[in-house]
Amino acid sequence: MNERVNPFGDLGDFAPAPPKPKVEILDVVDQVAAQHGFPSRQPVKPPAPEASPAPTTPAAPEQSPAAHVPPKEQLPSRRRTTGRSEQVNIKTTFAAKKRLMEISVERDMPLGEILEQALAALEKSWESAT
Amino acid sequence: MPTIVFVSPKGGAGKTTSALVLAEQLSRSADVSVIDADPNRPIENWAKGGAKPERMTVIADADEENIIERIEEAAARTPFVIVDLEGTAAKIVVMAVSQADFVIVPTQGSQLDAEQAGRAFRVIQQQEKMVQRRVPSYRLPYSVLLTRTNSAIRTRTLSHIEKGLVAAGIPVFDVELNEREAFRAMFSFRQPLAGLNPAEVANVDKAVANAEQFAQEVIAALRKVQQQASEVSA
Repeated sequence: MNERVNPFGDLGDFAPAPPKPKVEILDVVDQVAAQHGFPSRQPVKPPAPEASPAPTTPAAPEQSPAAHVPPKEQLPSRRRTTGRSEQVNIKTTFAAKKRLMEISVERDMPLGEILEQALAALEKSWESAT
Repeated sequence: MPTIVFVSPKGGAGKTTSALVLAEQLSRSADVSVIDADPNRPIENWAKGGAKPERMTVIADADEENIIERIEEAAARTPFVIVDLEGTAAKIVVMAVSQADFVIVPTQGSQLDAEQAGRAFRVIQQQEKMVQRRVPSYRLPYSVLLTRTNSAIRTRTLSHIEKGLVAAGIPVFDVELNEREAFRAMFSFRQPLAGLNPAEVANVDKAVANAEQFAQEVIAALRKVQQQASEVSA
């Protein structure tokens, strides 16, 4: 430790001070801050806990105050584990795509299965034609 | 009496370092409150090292809503109050300046720093002018502290900036805070300057001497302010 002789001597001439007279100081502060581009950067606090959710929705799951926005509605997943892992992108007409989707929904069949059955049916029709 | 506010709208000018250096020196002879109003709370983190001088109190819950009350409370408890602010142009800076008896504007010797320091001068000067309309005897003294200067070489940019400040009538402290490993080591070891081990940190003695000179010049400036105030009220 290198504590040495105090070079400042007695600082007893400085004493605690009463609050400064408030000459509408906040008014001055507002004006000076606005004129010189010193805006408030105080983070906005979340609303006080008293503002709890209305008691009319007791069944609603608990949400943090920030989660005002209801989550986006999710469509039920159409994905299934089928073992098919190859992907094919096909340009087609709107009508053909619509029919494909309709069959998928009506028959509860994945698109891959429809494609396989459609190919099989096509080949079968060719065979019967010959 | 004195509330000393460190202001620079630019970060990295040396506000926290010079505020802590001054607080340590003053706390050798008097009770000092340090209000750490930087949201990163660098002085509070430093104090967590457990080596804070006995006569130094760190207040780290100040924000824009309560800064004026925090300064008033501290000024009523201890003779010296030092306020360290964040390095941005924010309203809390103007609020702290409104409570100051003396403002120190730490500035590095670069054009960018000097330009930002200019914003601080304008705020201080206008604050003084507006309060004077109601209280003609009100004075808000301030001074520039050149920081991170080289103790051996004086760059031309620094000379140019200092000349410009003096020509513009801006008061500049004679003492500069030099670029010293010890001033950085205070934060990495979380120690006051006096607690640094000279075997681990280069030139601690020179940093301490620099800090003492700085504190002496600040005390002299504060005595002058106090004297002027008592002359006015007499």
